[in-house]
Amino acid sequence: MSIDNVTGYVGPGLVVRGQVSGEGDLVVDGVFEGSLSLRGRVAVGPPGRLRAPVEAHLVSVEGRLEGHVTAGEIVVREGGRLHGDVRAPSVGIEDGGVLLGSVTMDVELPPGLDDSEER
Amino acid sequence: MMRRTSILPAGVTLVGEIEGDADLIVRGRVEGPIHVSGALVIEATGIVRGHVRARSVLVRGVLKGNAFGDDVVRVEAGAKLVGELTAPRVTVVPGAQFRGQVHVGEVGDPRLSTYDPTLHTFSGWPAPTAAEPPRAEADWVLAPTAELWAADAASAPAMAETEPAATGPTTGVTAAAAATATVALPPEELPPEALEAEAPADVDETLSEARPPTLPPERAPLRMPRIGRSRARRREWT
Repeated sequence: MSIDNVTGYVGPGLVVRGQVSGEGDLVVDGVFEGSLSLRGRVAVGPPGRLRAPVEAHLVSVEGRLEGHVTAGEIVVREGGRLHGDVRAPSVGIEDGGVLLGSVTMDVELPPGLDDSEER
Repeated sequence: MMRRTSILPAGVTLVGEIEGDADLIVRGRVEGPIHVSGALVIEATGIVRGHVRARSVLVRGVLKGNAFGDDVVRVEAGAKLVGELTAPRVTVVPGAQFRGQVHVGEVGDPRLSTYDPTLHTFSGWPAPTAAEPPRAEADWVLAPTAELWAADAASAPAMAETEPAATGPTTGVTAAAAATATVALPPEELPPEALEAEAPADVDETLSEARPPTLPPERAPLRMPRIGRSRARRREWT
């Protein structure tokens, strides 16, 4: 994700605690704790630490993210660690990425394999 | 290595606090205190309700709260500010709407201001859950001058009594009144962000549109540091 003037940026050395909401992109290379609800993209950079439930359109993790994530798309990149349950129509874990938690996603099984009635 | 400036963009609201070793540009809304070691710029679209401290503080937007600059506080034309300004160099450009006191001097100088470092924290914010070992709390919090602050806090009541009444007209007093306290700031000493960003903007629009979001019920309610506390305290004594 490129950085421009409309992208929020939490630089290394910066600590932000609280609830962030609104519209826009956010890159976290520092520390964020609280909760995060953005209509936009969220990226946790390699040095970044994000400890918060996250709602966003796209979540990309190269650093550490602890918290449940709800997004349109989630990608855990190499070196990234996501600790929490995720819910998204698209979840990617790249080689070297770690996801500790459960993934919730609609799965369309072929007829006869549908297990939704058993539960 | 040049560090990249942290940004809170327009359209984004933070209810919480910001601290750390960084430069920060606020274009959105912050409901809470800010304490950074570098430059802090509140852009024309930016709204901050809370006390701020930085090496240099530049206000083009709205600040309700006290501004403490270790080097300089500068309030640009078009800015709206209610609070106290404290820095060795304080500049208020005519055209700014400003209500509050000006203290020209070092932050923490007991003769000049009543700086209270706890203003920069939320007393009511819940402690982080122990999912990992506790992080060393911001070591940049200027430990050497802690005693000075303590002394400052102790002398605060006496200070408050001698302060001139700060209850001016509620709408903006232009900075002309504060011109005696104005110290000219050579342009080359401005923080780099101060020079590159332009300052147009209609702040009223953002003011009316951006309301503080309601907090989710599971969180303990935030308690903001009380702005203008010294004034309230003064009223009690009279």
